[in-house]
Amino acid sequence: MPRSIRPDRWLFLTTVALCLIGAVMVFSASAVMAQSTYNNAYGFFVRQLAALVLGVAAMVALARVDYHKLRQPAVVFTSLGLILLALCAVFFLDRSHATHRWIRLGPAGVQPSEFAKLAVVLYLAWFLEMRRQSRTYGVNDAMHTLAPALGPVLALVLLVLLEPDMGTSMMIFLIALAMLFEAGLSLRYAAGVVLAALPVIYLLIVRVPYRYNRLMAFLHPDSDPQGKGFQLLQSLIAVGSGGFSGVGLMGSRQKLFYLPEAHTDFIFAVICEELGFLGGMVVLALFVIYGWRGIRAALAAPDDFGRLLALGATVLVVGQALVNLSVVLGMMPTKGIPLPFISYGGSSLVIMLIATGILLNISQHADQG
Amino acid sequence: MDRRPPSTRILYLAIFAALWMGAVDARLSYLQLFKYSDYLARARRQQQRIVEVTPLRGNLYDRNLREMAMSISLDSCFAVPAEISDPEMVARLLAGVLGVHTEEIETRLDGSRSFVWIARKLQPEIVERIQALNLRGIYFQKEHRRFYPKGELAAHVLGYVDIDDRGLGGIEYQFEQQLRTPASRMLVLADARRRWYERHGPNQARDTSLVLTLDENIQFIAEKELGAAIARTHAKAGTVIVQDPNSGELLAVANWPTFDPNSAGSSAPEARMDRAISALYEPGSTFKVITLAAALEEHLTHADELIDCQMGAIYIGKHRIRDHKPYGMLTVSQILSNSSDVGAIKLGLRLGPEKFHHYIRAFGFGTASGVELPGETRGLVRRVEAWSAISIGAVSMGQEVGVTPVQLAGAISAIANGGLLYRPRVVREIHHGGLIVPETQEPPARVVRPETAATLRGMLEGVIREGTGKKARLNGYTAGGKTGTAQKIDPATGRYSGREYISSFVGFAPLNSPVVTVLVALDAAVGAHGGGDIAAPVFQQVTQQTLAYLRVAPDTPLQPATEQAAGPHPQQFVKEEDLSDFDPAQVADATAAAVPGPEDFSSRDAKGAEPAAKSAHATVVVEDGEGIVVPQFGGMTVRNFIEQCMRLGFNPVPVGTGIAVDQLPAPGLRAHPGSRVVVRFTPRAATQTVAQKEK
Repeated sequence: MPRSIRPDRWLFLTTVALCLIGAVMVFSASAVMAQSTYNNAYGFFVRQLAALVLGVAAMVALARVDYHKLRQPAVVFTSLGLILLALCAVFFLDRSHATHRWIRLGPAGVQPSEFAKLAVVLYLAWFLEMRRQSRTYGVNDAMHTLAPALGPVLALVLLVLLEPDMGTSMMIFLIALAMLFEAGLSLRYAAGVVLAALPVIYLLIVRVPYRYNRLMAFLHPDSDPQGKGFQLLQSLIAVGSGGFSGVGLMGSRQKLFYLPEAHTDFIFAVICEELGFLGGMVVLALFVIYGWRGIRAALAAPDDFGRLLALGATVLVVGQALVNLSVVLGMMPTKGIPLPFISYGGSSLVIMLIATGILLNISQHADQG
Repeated sequence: MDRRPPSTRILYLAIFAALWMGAVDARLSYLQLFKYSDYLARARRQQQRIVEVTPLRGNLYDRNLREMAMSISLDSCFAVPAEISDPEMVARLLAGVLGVHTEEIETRLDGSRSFVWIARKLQPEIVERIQALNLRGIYFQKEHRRFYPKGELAAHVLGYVDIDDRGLGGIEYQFEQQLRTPASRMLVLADARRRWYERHGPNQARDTSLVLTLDENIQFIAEKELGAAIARTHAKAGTVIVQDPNSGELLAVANWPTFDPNSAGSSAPEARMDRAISALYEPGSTFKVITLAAALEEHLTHADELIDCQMGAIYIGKHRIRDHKPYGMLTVSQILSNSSDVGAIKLGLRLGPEKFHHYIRAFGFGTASGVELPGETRGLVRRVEAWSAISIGAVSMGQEVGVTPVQLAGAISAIANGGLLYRPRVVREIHHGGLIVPETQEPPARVVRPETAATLRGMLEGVIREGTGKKARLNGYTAGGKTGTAQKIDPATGRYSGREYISSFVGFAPLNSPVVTVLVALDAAVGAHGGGDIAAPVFQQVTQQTLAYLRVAPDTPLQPATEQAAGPHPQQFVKEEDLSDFDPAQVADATAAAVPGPEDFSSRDAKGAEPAAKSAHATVVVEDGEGIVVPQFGGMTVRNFIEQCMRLGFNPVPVGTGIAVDQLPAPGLRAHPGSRVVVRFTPRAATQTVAQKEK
């Protein structure tokens, strides 16, 4: 099997750049809030750095591990099983809030739903490659391919949905859909899956008041600027008031309790306010490069497993980035989805770096052709 | 392994992602490049606030740096109606807390979208209750409010401020420039929790405070005794001034009627008038001091010269002036002590108008004294050319001239200190931040030679020892002074009123090294109106207590307490045994010192004192419709006093530290709950020192 000697430098440097921007912006966006809430301006920054160190170590390690070693039922089902177990466990372990998202491990916390994304990518890459190579069952065999492919995925989606975390569950669903599509899912099925999902999504939104409010806020941000539309409006004000060159690093005013979740889901608004259009464009460009290198790695992958894995990882990062950016800019209703590498959140950061590590490894196995 | 060519589907996904990214990019450009100014304006609107800043006024202190006026920070409540979704409910909740009508608040909320005051300068507990409602769109802003912790104490000197903290009277007005930071509109950047994190505007850190020459204890004594005298004599008005004759500093300026500067707006305008500097009156006999000083200074007479007082009548031109009593031959000293009009006129005639006029002006009459208070009257001294034939006679006995209390006190101080006229002062120092600027004192003007002043002091002592001012006699101290009883001019007729008098006494003590000059003037007393009868006792009370407070050593043997002029406040005392409760270390001294004290209240028959003391501690409250009986606080510590006030619902105002010696209102009077009870405390050491000196 032909292998290039070195992993993809572009991808590596892009990832490092995104992580560094993330670390700086997490500090900028969280310092005042952390000082006033926890009396420690560096609290979030230090945690983010710790996750970054951990994640980079995992990325470097995985970049050195031949991705084919992941192509084993033992790896795939162990990860899937552990995630399922963890997602069930959060219902018993995290009863502190109304949500069940966290497993506390000492000072750190883990969000199993983040890891679920990766498990889905791994499982589908393994399973779909198997089906593509099978002479007995085609990819579009509803009984033998779609059901076993979507079964575990929907189980994960459902568990995450119950946390409740609709954003992440939809993200998982989107990743699965993209991979199925790539594997050759007939467009009839693809349409069917989407259509089947629509009433579920509709009910999930209309029946749950906060989601409904978010939708209404998205549609009519100015109707209730202090209530439902507050977050989106504040996000737009932050982005808009940044202008071309921004108000300067650390200079954001919107982060001073106007903009909720400034250091997590809405960190891009703070970037746009402080660094302006230029800063925002840099972040967009980095994700474009990431996507380009990810697709390139997928296309160059020597086998279906590598290609599907690379695609899954790329969708995981870039797809999530697109959703997050769209939310921040008011192009989609608000969801609880972090911006990869940049938003505060250890689990997300580690997962993104692991995905990048896998992608880096796949890029080394590129076809020479 | 059968490898298939790469799916082209991945490219569809890539194109989809690229389109999406393109849309994000377009949106970003739209927001940041095209809508920039819109969003910037929106950001400014919510992040910046123009705040009208109530300027912080500097504090006023008495000479011992006790706060007389201070600015306290209070929260004002405002609303941003745009943020309120249910104004009616918000109005109802706020109205409940503030005790106003719901409609009133609703109307206000309708008034503006961005900012309306709900209520200004609120008490902390109200603020807490509003905060507990946790209403969106309701915020607080710190504002300053002027607070006079001692209530009416020294109200006329301190002055008062309007709702916007502008000084309208007294020091507050006179030193407006120094005390007030210019009003400013300030641009502040506020975070979403309405805390300012940045502000552009004049620096607010200016910290100017004034240290006055007043002493809150002496001021208290003066006000209390003036109040008691008013109650006794039913006078319409009155003034007591205590001045340091050696520097011109005013230690106390008390006027009646008075007002509480904390609520000046609700007081009558005449109550806010500082009579000490603006009430013009004919001094009457007290002015004879000036006549004699001039005559002595010009060597026209000497203390022992015998003058024929012509059995009480003298002709000036065709006018016959009658003395209040027919006197025969009197020495000059006796003229003063008996206050003979004929004698004074004869000396005035010796001076002649020009010289007399010169001395009158030299003593500061007819010129504003220059005290740092607004609204001072110059006084009325007619030009010599305007004097009529009888003017010289009238002026000699204190008629046809108009003086203010502060002018007369200053003139008598000049006699007391050996002939130097100081500008009366109420401001001692100005503190600018850490910088202390003492007020400049221009050198005093010499009015008469020290020998003349000394001679006059001796004569003025005679007034108290054997003349018209016997009731001014102090226990343990020598003193000099002069009585005055002047008919008021009826403003309706322009003639002397037969019924209304200004009764006054002005003097100093101790005789040979005076520490205080005290002036008492009572306007239109009902019944007895002789200065020696009603003003002299006030002088005696104020001076006696002030000297004891200042720990001035007695210079004559003390009289047994019973021989003193009956004090107006027999309830006041400090039972010596009570002292031991407060400081066990002093038990021995205290019991040994059970000797009559110089202050009338400092020692009484222990048996008589006991029941009163008991009742004071037992908190017997008798309520019968009109308020609560104010108990006896004498002998209590500050803490006991405050505790008991809290129990009874009074507002305690302690003045000084140590043991309670005086109080307002007097024990036994009724007062409404919530009203101020001012009690003066003296360090127990002072009582001890004096008590030991007596032995």
